[in-house]
Amino acid sequence: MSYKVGPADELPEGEALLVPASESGASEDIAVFHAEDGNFYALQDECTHEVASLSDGWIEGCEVECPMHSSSFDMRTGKVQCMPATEDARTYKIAVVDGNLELDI
Amino acid sequence: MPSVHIVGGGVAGFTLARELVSKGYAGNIKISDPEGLPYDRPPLSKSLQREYFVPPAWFAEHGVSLIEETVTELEAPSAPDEWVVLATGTTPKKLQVPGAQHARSLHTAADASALSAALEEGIFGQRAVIIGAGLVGAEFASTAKLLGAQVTLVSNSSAPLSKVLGAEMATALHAEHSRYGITVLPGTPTQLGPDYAVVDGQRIEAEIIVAAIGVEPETTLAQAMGLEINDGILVDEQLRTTHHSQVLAIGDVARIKDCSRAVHWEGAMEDAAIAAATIMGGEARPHSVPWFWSDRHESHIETVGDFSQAAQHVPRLNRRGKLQVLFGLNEAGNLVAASMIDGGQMSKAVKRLIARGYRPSIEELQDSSVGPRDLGRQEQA
Repeated sequence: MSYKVGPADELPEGEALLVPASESGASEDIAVFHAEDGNFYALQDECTHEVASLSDGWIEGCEVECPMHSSSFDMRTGKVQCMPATEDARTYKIAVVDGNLELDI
Repeated sequence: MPSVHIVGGGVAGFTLARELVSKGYAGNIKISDPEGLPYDRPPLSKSLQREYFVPPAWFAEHGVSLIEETVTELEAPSAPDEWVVLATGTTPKKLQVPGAQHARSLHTAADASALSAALEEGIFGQRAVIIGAGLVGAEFASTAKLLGAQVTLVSNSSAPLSKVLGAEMATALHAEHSRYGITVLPGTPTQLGPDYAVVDGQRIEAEIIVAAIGVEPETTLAQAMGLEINDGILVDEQLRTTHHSQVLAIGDVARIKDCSRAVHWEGAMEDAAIAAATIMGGEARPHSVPWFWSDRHESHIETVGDFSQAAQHVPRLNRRGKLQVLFGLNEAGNLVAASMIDGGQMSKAVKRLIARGYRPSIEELQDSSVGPRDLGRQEQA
């Protein structure tokens, strides 16, 4: 199932937005990132360590750093790069279709 | 057979084992710790919880032996591929007053679980006296209050941790305690009993007494091994001890010669990565700009950099006039430190700006409409 997030050009490079489960119908909140490699990626929004929202995180290159305790994740693979988190984050497929971000949920 | 014996399973010791495993170290890895399965310390004072880094199966899966033991003697390695790494951390300082044994520390999972049980005992809320309002004292005061205790926080300073947080931030944070219903008592304890503390002549009844007056490096084993100690085990940039190149020291117990001892969680993890590079060869990321956090009274507090280098402090207030960020600049005007309350991405921005040697304008620091990603933009452009 795909969910239309909105126009891709409304999410500048280096920024993220939150897609709440209540809006998308997905099983969890999802963070959508515009990474500094120009591509879009999506991960589970909640950090795998403690309650914190990765869509509020710091984006650098293709990594996002959790705002609470600085665990970082590779947005492309969800792989945890740095403790305290030790579990990888779930990834979601996202594509730009006719200028719109479409999230595979 | 190559081997690494890590003494201490805190964040430094455990992370080293993890680094060695992830780099494919072909030898025996052993962690000795009297507390058994390694856990993370920051949650102890924040939530009184023991959070294991990984489940027990991880150790067997990756061939890491975990031995529940206190190591009191250890021979320095003789073979060139044998290593000993001391990650023994710190021990809490003890009060030097009559009855000091009646105060508990909050340093281990056992301490946290005993305090948690004690807090649950009273129907109408236990009375807790906490001596010392540093990071651990303040965090435990907040946790105990949340769990329904009547809390008295004793400090001989009106701005504990001034040198670490910056004076203005330290003052603002200390003042918050009473807003959350904690009794803040200036003074010094002169005597403790099983259910009371005497502070400057005043007797305070309490079921729970906690001393949180700081820690000192745990160097008993290092002393027995004849290592050089001076506020920590002295090491070089590769974390080799000055006496033996295959004995390393990492984390809170280690001090790089001619530097001050780094005492925070992230620094301990970075030490582990450096130690792994020393053992296996290769490059490690050098230490980054220091960073730590503290949670109390619904606030997330972070400090980045080093306020001891700051010659000038610049406060940023929020719209209601409350201190939000305190920036520290050195004499040349470079950003060297910042402390913040619920700063979000600000700590990450500041960390990078400090590393870059950024010289901000006072206006952009004060202006709360200049967000973390906008700070430093002007210079870059």
